[in-house]
Amino acid sequence: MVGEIEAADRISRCIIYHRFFEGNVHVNDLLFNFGQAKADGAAHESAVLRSLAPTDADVHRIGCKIVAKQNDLPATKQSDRRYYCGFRTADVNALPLEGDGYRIELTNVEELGEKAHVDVALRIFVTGSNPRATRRTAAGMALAEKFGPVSPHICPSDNDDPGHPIIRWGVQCLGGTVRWATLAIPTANDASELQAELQVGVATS
Amino acid sequence: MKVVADQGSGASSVTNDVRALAEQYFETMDAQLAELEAMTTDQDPPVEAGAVETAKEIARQIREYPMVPPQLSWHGGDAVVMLWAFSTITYALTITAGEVGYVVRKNREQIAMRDSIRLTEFKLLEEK
Repeated sequence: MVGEIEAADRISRCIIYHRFFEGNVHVNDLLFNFGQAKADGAAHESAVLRSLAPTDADVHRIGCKIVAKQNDLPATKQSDRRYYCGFRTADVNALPLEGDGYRIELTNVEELGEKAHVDVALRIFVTGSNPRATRRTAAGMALAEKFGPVSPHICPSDNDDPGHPIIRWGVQCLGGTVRWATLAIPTANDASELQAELQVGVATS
Repeated sequence: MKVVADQGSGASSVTNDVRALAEQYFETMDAQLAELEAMTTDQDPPVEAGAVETAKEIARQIREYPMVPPQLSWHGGDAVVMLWAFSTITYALTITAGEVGYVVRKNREQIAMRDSIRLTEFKLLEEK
């Protein structure tokens, strides 16, 4: 069943470790990492429609369900174990759905028994490996900037699991990306003292 | 990329710390590329060999310049992404076999995008 998505609605993206992490930090730029197009010509990612999952608990339940199913696959090794860490939310009317050579389509379609599931489909209209790949990057970056900070969560089944990122590194692992304010490395001929500053900021700042 | 020189600031210990951190990030990048290269012979590699090879060449140029180390990611089985974030600016290279594209965002708006730059013609920084 396909439902309407209103411009005034919101969608949430469930944050899953390792996939959305660079090392021990969730980074903005991995929030939407689109892959190759499927048979229908689009690359697909998922989100949660907040009008059908209005509370934080609703979204967390869905996130925990997603990783439980992924961890249940026979080939999943302990080192590949996934953890749900929380979600980030964006206003639908703020999302950049039209780009240079691509378009993003949001469709509310039930999946895994969840009526609030949103299919986020990226359609690219250029040809060639690098043109298409560059637009996958561009679309992911543009989308991610519209999502707010993480609402953190540990699934009940992970409460005693020291491997969960929040237990392991603290909630600060969800809101940081190392951003270089200025950094200079002297050349062989440069004898000057150089000043450098390292700034850690939240992923949405 | 912004290069700042401050004469006689006396911040050598800070500089050494940052250089050590930069080297740590370079080593992380190198290890990631080595791992991707090792997996190119797998049945379903995360990234194809041509893209990894081109990314290694870009990584070599970054180290040689030298420049700030990027954050590395990959997608679609055919692309390695190198990303730098400076305050309100994000700069991402998308590297496929023999070609490079880039996207530049500033203040949450895309200000530049270009694709299909041959590796032999690609320059990390504009010469002014």
